[in-house]
Amino acid sequence: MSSTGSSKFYGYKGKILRLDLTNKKAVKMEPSPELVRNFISARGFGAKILWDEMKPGTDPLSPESKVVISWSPLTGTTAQSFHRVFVVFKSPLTGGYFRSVGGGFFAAEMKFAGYDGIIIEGRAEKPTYVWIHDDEVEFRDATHVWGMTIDGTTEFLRDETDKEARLLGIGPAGERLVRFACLVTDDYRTPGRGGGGAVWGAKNLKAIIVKASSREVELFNPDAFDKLVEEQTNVYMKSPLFESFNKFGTGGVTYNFYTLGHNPTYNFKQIELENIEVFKTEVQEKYIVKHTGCYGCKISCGKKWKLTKGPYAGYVWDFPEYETQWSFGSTCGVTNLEAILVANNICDRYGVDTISAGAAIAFAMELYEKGIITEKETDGLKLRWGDGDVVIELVRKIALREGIGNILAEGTKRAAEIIGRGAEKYAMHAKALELPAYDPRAAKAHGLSYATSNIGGSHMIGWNHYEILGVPKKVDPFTTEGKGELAKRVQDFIAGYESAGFCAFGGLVTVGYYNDEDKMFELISGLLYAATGIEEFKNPKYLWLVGERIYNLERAFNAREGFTRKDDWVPERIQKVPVPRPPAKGQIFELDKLLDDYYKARGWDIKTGIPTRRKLEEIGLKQVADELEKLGKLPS
Amino acid sequence: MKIYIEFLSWASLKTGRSWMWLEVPGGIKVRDLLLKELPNALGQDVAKVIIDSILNGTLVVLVNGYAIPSLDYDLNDGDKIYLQPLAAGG
Repeated sequence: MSSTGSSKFYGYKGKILRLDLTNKKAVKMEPSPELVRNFISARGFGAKILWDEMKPGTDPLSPESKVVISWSPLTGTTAQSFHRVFVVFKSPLTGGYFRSVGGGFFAAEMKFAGYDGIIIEGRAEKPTYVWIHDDEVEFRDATHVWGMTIDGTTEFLRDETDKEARLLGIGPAGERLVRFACLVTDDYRTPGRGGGGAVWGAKNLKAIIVKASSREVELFNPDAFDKLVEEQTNVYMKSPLFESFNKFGTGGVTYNFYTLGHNPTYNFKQIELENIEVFKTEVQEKYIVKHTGCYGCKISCGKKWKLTKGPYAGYVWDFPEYETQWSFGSTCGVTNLEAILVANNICDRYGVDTISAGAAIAFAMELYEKGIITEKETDGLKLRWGDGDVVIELVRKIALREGIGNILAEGTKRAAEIIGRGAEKYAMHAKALELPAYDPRAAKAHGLSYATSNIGGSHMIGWNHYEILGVPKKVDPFTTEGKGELAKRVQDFIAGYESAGFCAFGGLVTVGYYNDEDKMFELISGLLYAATGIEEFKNPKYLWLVGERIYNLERAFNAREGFTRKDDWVPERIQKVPVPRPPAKGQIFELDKLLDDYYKARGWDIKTGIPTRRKLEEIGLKQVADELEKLGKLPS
Repeated sequence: MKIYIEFLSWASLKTGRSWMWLEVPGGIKVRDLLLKELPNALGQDVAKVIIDSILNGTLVVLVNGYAIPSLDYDLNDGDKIYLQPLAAGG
């Protein structure tokens, strides 16, 4: 299967834009029928193209590395929540496959401009931005905006192109190759994790800015499509999860999840957090002054907060999501919501992943507490738990790679190696990606996804709605029984709907209504078929197959890079130290037992954790098996 | 004995109050408190909205800050019940 060739399908624009930064060359290619049929779009396109085009062993920060950005045949249509931008690359943080997703309006504008995706390659000689206006693609000098935050960059580049253009770019952190620098849209939506911003920075690519002159997507069966969109809208309005998302955004769960044993405190020490009640929605709602949303999404989970008191009075900014309330809050012992908002503001503008940044700060705070680092190494800062001002200062230092920030900008795994003296014990990561706001000990299948995820410690690659929400049915989060199968099921489910470019929050709202994953896939399949006319997409089971195919291909990418079972790991604290607070009190994470169960459920080799030929062929990936065999990576 | 009940987020809009103390018989279970005592305190119609929401999973019951395994949970004097809307997030 190749990635390009001749095709013409409804819903798609039939063009992938290849940007060669070294030669300032833009080439428009047709996605091949095989790519479309076998991988659908979005995460599927990214995984397949990266597999085809990235040689194993490529340095993610070299000109040879590539970035694939894509969206869905449903992007730009009236369907809800299919307008996400999927960014796939080899991560400078993990050294493996990465997929990062963001919202906003960029993907829809790119679709309207006539594209299904972008492949970025090479390295520009000097700072560059790319201006796309329908068919016209220009490589322009970005020297004057290099060093600017996202807000400044957006303002300047819109002045030079179109006032209503949409932008995806990097801030000063990406320019400085902070290993968890992110990409940011003009409206501060972020494909946030894994260091995509550093990959762009290494390529001297400051931004892509786009304006389309039309607003059309040609559909196969517009009448059937409209009916399904009406059904989808109904589902949203009636879902028990809609109101909370709509009213409070993800901040609606911060207190709730603490009570379930998540929102882990003090770098996963998990002792009680005094003053946790400030995270209740009753407190948060006093800050909300505006609801915002992405293109074509009624959930509108974005919120603007206004600060009117304290040292940060006057700030009006995107609210900290649940993960950020945790990363700059609970895991650092901070319960000052105003300070958390300001730290979030710096990350949005400078282009830093809030999860990794906060986790790195919590790591540094614990090292300071233990006396492993002192004020001599912290530029005189007292890294005391709970000090929001210190968090803000450290975020700034990380973004600009100043002093201790220069070490933390490497990510906790590398920072621990640099610091030494036993610091590794306190680096809370999986495959070098900092663990987010759920405790694997308090939800074993969810934790299994942290350990086995192809992108490292991510909560979004296998967000376990069974264990955390009890949807579609309640599962005891603490037991290990059946968790391999459950982790696999949810990972494939998410990869399935992400192949259609659907939003995870839209997914939760929808599955929360149907209480049935297959019914949700029925709706998505219906939309895909009505939009594209592709027969395979008609069958909801096909989404499960594509999900599993993508997940295995991503695994194969990592196997080709040398990842094995030894990399499916969580830190010692998670494996050996029992949680001290209820309701997960006494729980540890039984890694080896859970891994065996998971590999069996996946049909992978238990010794190496690599997909077998049988599994790969069963899901249409024979050529992948052949290549792994050629490289000596296929289990015998 | 007395039990404290807090209605969070939209639950407080439905009941018209954020919290209340309820005088209940000793040794009562959460299920009986909801089905037998709450209607007396809130009125049948309002209590029905709350109880239906709990039974269909839209409202989550926490006791003293922690999710309870089932509605057959035994309550003690001074326990605090939080009724939280089901919410999810990344």
